[in-house]
Amino acid sequence: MMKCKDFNSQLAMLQDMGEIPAEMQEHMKHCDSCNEAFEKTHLLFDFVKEEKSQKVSPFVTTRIMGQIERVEKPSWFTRPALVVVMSIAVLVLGFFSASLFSAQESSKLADSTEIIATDYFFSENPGSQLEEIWLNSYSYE
Amino acid sequence: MGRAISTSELTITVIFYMQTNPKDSDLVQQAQDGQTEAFSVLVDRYRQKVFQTCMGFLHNTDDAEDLTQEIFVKAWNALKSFDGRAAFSTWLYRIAVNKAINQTRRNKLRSFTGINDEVTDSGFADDDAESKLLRSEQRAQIKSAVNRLKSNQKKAFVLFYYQELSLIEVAEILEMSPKATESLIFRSRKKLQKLLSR
Repeated sequence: MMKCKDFNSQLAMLQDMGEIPAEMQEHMKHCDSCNEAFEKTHLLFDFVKEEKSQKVSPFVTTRIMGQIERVEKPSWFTRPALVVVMSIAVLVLGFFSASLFSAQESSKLADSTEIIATDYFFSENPGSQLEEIWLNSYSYE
Repeated sequence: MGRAISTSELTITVIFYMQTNPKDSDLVQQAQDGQTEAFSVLVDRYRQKVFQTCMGFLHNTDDAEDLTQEIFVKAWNALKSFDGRAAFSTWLYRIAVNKAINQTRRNKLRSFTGINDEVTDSGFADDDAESKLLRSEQRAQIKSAVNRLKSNQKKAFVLFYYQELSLIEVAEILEMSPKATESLIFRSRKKLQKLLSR
């Protein structure tokens, strides 16, 4: 006659609940606790079978590949450090470009003033041309 | 009666098969070179198996799907370190069981703090309320018993029963001898029997 300890060891080795040795079946007829252990193991196998039969969503591949590609090709907004650096560069460039233009303007003005002054002081008849223009002009009359 | 297949026909069939079913090692090589399409084929090939592993640890389809996604993303990020000494599947399943164990630990912590008080209904609408309740209690008891297994026992149990891998495959994933793996599975079954008979 099989002992409960042997029954439990054999039960733990069973891979398929459909094939139960005759010796175990005989033992279960007379032992309620082993019968219950067998029933519980049966439930465990049913539970595993049910969970195993669940199918994964076919969209999981799309989700995975989407996540991978997002990491592989990050957009401008997903690279905050780059955005900050670019913003600072644009600000600095804007600041210096303004000062550059104003310097050009002042140098142009300085050059033209110098030419007029040279014409006036070193000419033999300074301002005669201008006076002639004024005298022959009737626009204000 | 069917006619005999000629050598040229067989060659064409083999070439077609190799083109439509590329080997894991070739796909891994392409994926390591940055080809995401090759990795996508590997995802399609192994997603169900990885999902089954996750189900064995988490017992919830939504959580298992989220974890499946995390596992593949981790595999992609670690793909450069895959040296091909083991099969790709072995390497992937090793990542899967380790991530799943970490997730169950996090879930334990969450249930301890009361954040994760979820009730799963397996959807047997035709059953009457009493049998539904009984079934729900039995499922809860089994889940609790599986969750109380030691990490290595749980890994071996899930790989062997949920994924239906051979002892040698399980042993390779767990980096143990087949004999030690067999003993681990046996002990996990004995412990489950003990926990369920309470």
